Amino acid sequence: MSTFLLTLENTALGTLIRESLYGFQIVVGIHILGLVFSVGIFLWFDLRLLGWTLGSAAVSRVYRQVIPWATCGFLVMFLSGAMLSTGFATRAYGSPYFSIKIAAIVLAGANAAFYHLVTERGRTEWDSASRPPAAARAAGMISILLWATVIVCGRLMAYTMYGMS
Amino acid sequence: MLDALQHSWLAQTIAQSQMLTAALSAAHLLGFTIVMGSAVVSNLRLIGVMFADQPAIQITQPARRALLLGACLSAATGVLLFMPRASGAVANDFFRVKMTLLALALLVLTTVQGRVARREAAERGAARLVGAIGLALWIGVALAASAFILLE
Repeated sequence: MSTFLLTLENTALGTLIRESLYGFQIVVGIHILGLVFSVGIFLWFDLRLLGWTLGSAAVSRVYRQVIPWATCGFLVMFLSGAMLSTGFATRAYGSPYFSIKIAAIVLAGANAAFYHLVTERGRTEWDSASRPPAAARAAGMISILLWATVIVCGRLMAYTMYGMS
Repeated sequence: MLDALQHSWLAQTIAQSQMLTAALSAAHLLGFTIVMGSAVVSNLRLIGVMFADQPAIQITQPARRALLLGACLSAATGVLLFMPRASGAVANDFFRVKMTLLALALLVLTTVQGRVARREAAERGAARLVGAIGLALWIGVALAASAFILLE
Protein backbone atom coordinates (compact mmCIF):
# COMPACT_ATOMS: atom_id res chain seq x y z
CA MET A 1 0.00 0.00 0.00
CA SER A 2 2.78 2.43 0.92
CA THR A 3 4.39 1.96 -2.53
CA PHE A 4 1.09 2.84 -4.20
CA LEU A 5 0.67 5.90 -1.99
CA LEU A 6 4.23 7.07 -2.71
CA THR A 7 3.65 6.54 -6.44
CA LEU A 8 0.53 8.71 -6.17
CA GLU A 9 2.42 11.42 -4.30
CA ASN A 10 5.22 11.40 -6.89
CA THR A 11 2.95 11.89 -9.88
CA ALA A 12 3.23 15.28 -11.59
CA LEU A 13 -0.08 16.32 -10.03
CA GLY A 14 0.93 15.23 -6.53
CA THR A 15 4.23 17.09 -6.75
CA LEU A 16 2.50 20.19 -8.12
CA ILE A 17 0.00 20.25 -5.25
CA ARG A 18 2.71 19.73 -2.64
CA GLU A 19 5.52 21.89 -3.93
CA SER A 20 4.10 24.80 -5.91
CA LEU A 21 3.90 28.16 -4.17
CA TYR A 22 0.10 28.47 -4.11
CA GLY A 23 -1.09 25.16 -5.65
CA PHE A 24 -2.12 23.66 -2.32
CA GLN A 25 -3.87 26.82 -1.09
CA ILE A 26 -5.79 27.29 -4.33
CA VAL A 27 -7.00 23.67 -4.42
CA VAL A 28 -7.98 23.74 -0.70
CA GLY A 29 -9.88 26.98 -1.35
CA ILE A 30 -11.75 25.41 -4.28
CA HIS A 31 -12.42 22.29 -2.16
CA ILE A 32 -13.92 24.34 0.69
CA LEU A 33 -16.04 26.42 -1.71
CA GLY A 34 -17.33 23.27 -3.43
CA LEU A 35 -18.19 21.75 -0.05
CA VAL A 36 -19.91 24.83 1.34
CA PHE A 37 -21.89 25.27 -1.89
CA SER A 38 -22.97 21.63 -2.35
CA VAL A 39 -23.66 20.66 1.26
CA GLY A 40 -25.24 24.05 2.00
CA ILE A 41 -27.70 23.71 -0.89
CA PHE A 42 -28.40 19.99 -0.34
CA LEU A 43 -29.19 20.80 3.30
CA TRP A 44 -32.46 22.31 2.05
CA PHE A 45 -33.60 18.96 0.70
CA ASP A 46 -32.67 17.29 4.02
CA LEU A 47 -34.60 19.96 5.92
CA ARG A 48 -37.62 19.37 3.66
CA LEU A 49 -37.41 15.61 4.33
CA LEU A 50 -37.41 16.41 8.04
CA GLY A 51 -40.51 18.55 7.55
CA TRP A 52 -38.80 21.59 9.06
CA THR A 53 -39.13 23.94 6.08
CA LEU A 54 -40.55 24.53 2.56
CA GLY A 55 -43.67 22.58 3.55
CA SER A 56 -45.65 24.10 0.67
CA ALA A 57 -43.34 22.51 -1.94
CA ALA A 58 -43.52 18.77 -2.74
CA VAL A 59 -40.49 16.74 -1.63
CA SER A 60 -39.77 15.62 -5.22
CA ARG A 61 -39.95 19.21 -6.40
CA VAL A 62 -37.44 20.41 -3.79
CA TYR A 63 -35.14 17.55 -4.84
CA ARG A 64 -35.37 18.47 -8.53
CA GLN A 65 -34.65 22.12 -7.74
CA VAL A 66 -31.57 21.61 -5.55
CA ILE A 67 -29.91 18.56 -7.09
CA PRO A 68 -28.42 20.18 -10.27
CA TRP A 69 -26.74 22.93 -8.22
CA ALA A 70 -25.62 20.62 -5.44
CA THR A 71 -24.23 18.14 -7.98
CA CYS A 72 -22.02 20.85 -9.52
CA GLY A 73 -20.65 21.61 -6.04
CA PHE A 74 -20.17 17.91 -5.23
CA LEU A 75 -18.18 17.39 -8.46
CA VAL A 76 -15.90 20.34 -7.64
CA MET A 77 -15.52 19.05 -4.06
CA PHE A 78 -14.69 15.47 -5.09
CA LEU A 79 -12.25 16.46 -7.86
CA SER A 80 -10.36 18.95 -5.68
CA GLY A 81 -10.43 16.48 -2.75
CA ALA A 82 -8.91 13.77 -4.96
CA MET A 83 -6.19 16.21 -6.07
CA LEU A 84 -5.36 17.06 -2.44
CA SER A 85 -5.26 13.38 -1.49
CA THR A 86 -2.84 12.73 -4.36
CA GLY A 87 -0.41 15.32 -3.04
CA PHE A 88 -0.54 14.03 0.53
CA ALA A 89 -1.53 10.37 0.03
CA THR A 90 0.70 8.87 2.75
CA ARG A 91 -0.26 11.41 5.40
CA ALA A 92 -3.95 11.15 4.45
CA TYR A 93 -3.91 7.35 4.70
CA GLY A 94 -2.41 7.59 8.19
CA SER A 95 -4.88 10.19 9.45
CA PRO A 96 -7.86 8.90 11.49
CA TYR A 97 -9.84 12.01 10.46
CA PHE A 98 -9.34 11.16 6.78
CA SER A 99 -10.63 7.61 7.40
CA ILE A 100 -13.68 8.93 9.27
CA LYS A 101 -14.30 11.53 6.55
CA ILE A 102 -14.20 8.94 3.75
CA ALA A 103 -16.40 6.56 5.79
CA ALA A 104 -18.94 9.38 6.32
CA ILE A 105 -18.99 10.16 2.57
CA VAL A 106 -19.54 6.47 1.74
CA LEU A 107 -22.31 6.24 4.35
CA ALA A 108 -23.92 9.42 2.99
CA GLY A 109 -23.94 7.78 -0.45
CA ALA A 110 -25.45 4.59 1.01
CA ASN A 111 -28.08 6.63 2.86
CA ALA A 112 -29.00 8.43 -0.39
CA ALA A 113 -29.15 5.11 -2.28
CA PHE A 114 -31.38 3.56 0.40
CA TYR A 115 -33.68 6.60 0.27
CA HIS A 116 -34.02 6.44 -3.54
CA LEU A 117 -34.32 2.64 -3.78
CA VAL A 118 -36.46 1.88 -0.74
CA THR A 119 -37.94 4.87 1.11
CA GLU A 120 -38.95 6.75 -2.03
CA ARG A 121 -41.05 3.84 -3.38
CA GLY A 122 -44.19 5.08 -1.66
CA ARG A 123 -43.42 8.74 -2.17
CA THR A 124 -46.60 9.57 -4.10
CA GLU A 125 -48.53 9.08 -0.85
CA TRP A 126 -46.48 11.60 1.12
CA ASP A 127 -44.81 13.78 -1.53
CA SER A 128 -46.88 16.83 -0.63
CA ALA A 129 -47.17 16.14 3.11
CA SER A 130 -45.58 18.89 5.16
CA ARG A 131 -44.23 16.16 7.50
CA PRO A 132 -42.91 13.12 5.56
CA PRO A 133 -42.93 9.63 7.19
CA ALA A 134 -40.35 8.55 9.75
CA ALA A 135 -38.12 6.73 7.23
CA ALA A 136 -37.82 9.88 5.08
CA ARG A 137 -37.20 12.06 8.13
CA ALA A 138 -34.51 9.64 9.29
CA ALA A 139 -32.83 9.84 5.85
CA GLY A 140 -32.75 13.65 6.14
CA MET A 141 -31.34 13.63 9.66
CA ILE A 142 -28.71 10.97 8.86
CA SER A 143 -27.64 12.96 5.80
CA ILE A 144 -27.21 16.17 7.85
CA LEU A 145 -25.20 14.37 10.55
CA LEU A 146 -22.95 12.60 8.03
CA TRP A 147 -22.18 15.77 6.05
CA ALA A 148 -21.50 17.65 9.28
CA THR A 149 -19.03 14.86 10.16
CA VAL A 150 -17.36 15.32 6.76
CA ILE A 151 -16.96 19.06 7.40
CA VAL A 152 -15.64 18.62 10.95
CA CYS A 153 -13.15 15.91 9.92
CA GLY A 154 -12.01 18.02 6.96
CA ARG A 155 -11.16 20.88 9.29
CA LEU A 156 -9.45 18.56 11.80
CA MET A 157 -7.38 17.14 8.91
CA ALA A 158 -6.32 20.63 7.88
CA TYR A 159 -4.94 21.34 11.35
CA THR A 160 -3.39 17.96 12.10
CA MET A 161 -2.17 16.93 8.62
CA TYR A 162 -1.33 20.13 6.83
CA GLY A 163 -0.16 22.02 9.91
CA MET A 164 -2.56 24.95 9.76
CA SER A 165 -2.48 27.19 12.81
CA MET B 1 -7.04 47.25 22.34
CA LEU B 2 -6.26 44.54 19.76
CA ASP B 3 -3.06 43.80 21.65
CA ALA B 4 -4.93 43.41 24.92
CA LEU B 5 -7.47 41.15 23.21
CA GLN B 6 -4.72 39.05 21.67
CA HIS B 7 -2.95 38.63 25.01
CA SER B 8 -6.08 37.89 27.03
CA TRP B 9 -6.35 34.57 28.86
CA LEU B 10 -9.00 33.29 26.43
CA ALA B 11 -6.98 34.20 23.33
CA GLN B 12 -3.88 32.54 24.76
CA THR B 13 -5.84 29.40 25.66
CA ILE B 14 -7.16 29.14 22.09
CA ALA B 15 -3.74 29.89 20.56
CA GLN B 16 -2.06 27.17 22.62
CA SER B 17 -4.54 24.44 21.72
CA GLN B 18 -4.48 23.18 18.15
CA MET B 19 -7.49 20.95 18.77
CA LEU B 20 -9.54 23.79 20.25
CA THR B 21 -8.66 26.00 17.26
CA ALA B 22 -9.54 23.15 14.87
CA ALA B 23 -12.86 22.53 16.66
CA LEU B 24 -13.73 26.24 16.51
CA SER B 25 -12.76 26.33 12.84
CA ALA B 26 -14.98 23.29 12.16
CA ALA B 27 -17.95 24.93 13.91
CA HIS B 28 -17.21 28.17 12.01
CA LEU B 29 -17.31 26.29 8.69
CA LEU B 30 -20.52 24.44 9.67
CA GLY B 31 -22.18 27.79 10.36
CA PHE B 32 -20.85 29.21 7.10
CA THR B 33 -22.17 26.20 5.17
CA ILE B 34 -25.68 26.94 6.49
CA VAL B 35 -25.20 30.62 5.60
CA MET B 36 -24.00 29.93 2.05
CA GLY B 37 -26.64 27.29 1.32
CA SER B 38 -29.41 29.61 2.50
CA ALA B 39 -27.97 32.62 0.67
CA VAL B 40 -27.61 30.72 -2.60
CA VAL B 41 -31.14 29.24 -2.44
CA SER B 42 -32.85 32.56 -1.59
CA ASN B 43 -30.88 34.63 -4.12
CA LEU B 44 -31.32 32.07 -6.91
CA ARG B 45 -35.06 32.24 -6.19
CA LEU B 46 -35.00 36.03 -6.50
CA ILE B 47 -33.08 35.75 -9.76
CA GLY B 48 -35.78 33.31 -10.91
CA VAL B 49 -33.79 30.15 -11.62
CA MET B 50 -34.82 28.10 -8.55
CA PHE B 51 -38.38 27.45 -7.28
CA ALA B 52 -39.54 29.91 -9.96
CA ASP B 53 -43.22 28.89 -9.70
CA GLN B 54 -43.28 29.33 -5.91
CA PRO B 55 -43.89 32.79 -4.37
CA ALA B 56 -40.44 34.23 -3.55
CA ILE B 57 -41.37 35.05 0.02
CA GLN B 58 -42.09 31.34 0.71
CA ILE B 59 -38.43 30.60 -0.06
CA THR B 60 -36.63 33.73 1.14
CA GLN B 61 -38.30 33.86 4.57
CA PRO B 62 -37.21 30.40 5.83
CA ALA B 63 -33.84 30.84 4.08
CA ARG B 64 -33.32 34.13 5.91
CA ARG B 65 -34.07 32.49 9.28
CA ALA B 66 -31.61 29.67 8.55
CA LEU B 67 -29.01 32.14 7.29
CA LEU B 68 -29.22 34.21 10.47
CA LEU B 69 -28.93 31.03 12.57
CA GLY B 70 -25.82 29.97 10.64
CA ALA B 71 -24.44 33.51 10.89
CA CYS B 72 -24.82 33.43 14.70
CA LEU B 73 -22.81 30.18 14.88
CA SER B 74 -20.19 31.55 12.48
CA ALA B 75 -19.96 34.88 14.30
CA ALA B 76 -19.60 33.34 17.78
CA THR B 77 -16.82 30.99 16.67
CA GLY B 78 -15.34 33.64 14.35
CA VAL B 79 -14.80 36.02 17.29
CA LEU B 80 -13.00 33.28 19.21
CA LEU B 81 -10.82 32.46 16.19
CA PHE B 82 -10.12 36.17 15.65
CA MET B 83 -8.89 36.81 19.22
CA PRO B 84 -5.48 35.06 19.07
CA ARG B 85 -4.64 36.70 15.72
CA ALA B 86 -6.43 40.04 16.13
CA SER B 87 -3.56 42.35 15.07
CA GLY B 88 -2.57 40.22 12.07
CA ALA B 89 -6.16 39.76 10.94
CA VAL B 90 -7.02 43.46 11.04
CA ALA B 91 -3.93 44.23 8.97
CA ASN B 92 -4.81 41.53 6.41
CA ASP B 93 -6.40 42.82 3.17
CA PHE B 94 -8.43 39.64 2.60
CA PHE B 95 -9.90 39.83 6.11
CA ARG B 96 -10.91 43.47 5.59
CA VAL B 97 -12.49 42.63 2.23
CA LYS B 98 -14.32 39.66 3.81
CA MET B 99 -15.75 41.77 6.64
CA THR B 100 -16.76 44.61 4.27
CA LEU B 101 -18.55 42.22 1.90
CA LEU B 102 -20.17 40.46 4.86
CA ALA B 103 -21.51 43.75 6.21
CA LEU B 104 -22.88 44.65 2.75
CA ALA B 105 -24.44 41.19 2.28
CA LEU B 106 -26.16 41.40 5.68
CA LEU B 107 -27.32 44.93 4.86
CA VAL B 108 -28.93 43.77 1.61
CA LEU B 109 -30.49 40.80 3.43
CA THR B 110 -31.99 42.83 6.26
CA THR B 111 -33.09 45.91 4.31
CA VAL B 112 -34.16 45.23 0.72
CA GLN B 113 -34.39 41.46 0.26
CA GLY B 114 -37.62 40.96 2.21
CA ARG B 115 -39.26 43.94 0.51
CA VAL B 116 -38.47 42.80 -3.06
CA ALA B 117 -39.44 39.20 -2.20
CA ARG B 118 -42.93 40.37 -1.12
CA ARG B 119 -43.39 42.47 -4.28
CA GLU B 120 -41.57 40.08 -6.60
CA ALA B 121 -44.55 39.48 -8.90
CA ALA B 122 -44.89 43.22 -9.62
CA GLU B 123 -41.19 44.14 -9.56
CA ARG B 124 -39.44 41.19 -11.17
CA GLY B 125 -36.50 43.27 -12.42
CA ALA B 126 -35.75 44.66 -8.96
CA ALA B 127 -35.96 41.16 -7.44
CA ARG B 128 -33.50 39.82 -10.04
CA LEU B 129 -31.10 42.70 -9.38
CA VAL B 130 -31.22 42.25 -5.59
CA GLY B 131 -30.77 38.48 -6.02
CA ALA B 132 -27.75 38.94 -8.28
CA ILE B 133 -26.17 41.51 -5.93
CA GLY B 134 -26.85 39.29 -2.89
CA LEU B 135 -25.40 36.21 -4.58
CA ALA B 136 -22.29 38.11 -5.74
CA LEU B 137 -21.72 39.51 -2.24
CA TRP B 138 -21.99 36.08 -0.53
CA ILE B 139 -19.70 34.44 -3.10
CA GLY B 140 -17.28 37.32 -2.50
CA VAL B 141 -17.42 36.65 1.26
CA ALA B 142 -16.60 32.96 0.64
CA LEU B 143 -13.70 33.77 -1.71
CA ALA B 144 -12.21 36.39 0.63
CA ALA B 145 -12.62 34.05 3.63
CA SER B 146 -10.81 31.24 1.79
CA ALA B 147 -8.02 33.58 0.71
CA PHE B 148 -7.68 34.88 4.28
CA ILE B 149 -7.35 31.49 5.98
CA LEU B 150 -5.13 30.00 3.28
CA LEU B 151 -2.83 32.89 2.37
CA GLU B 152 -2.59 34.51 5.80
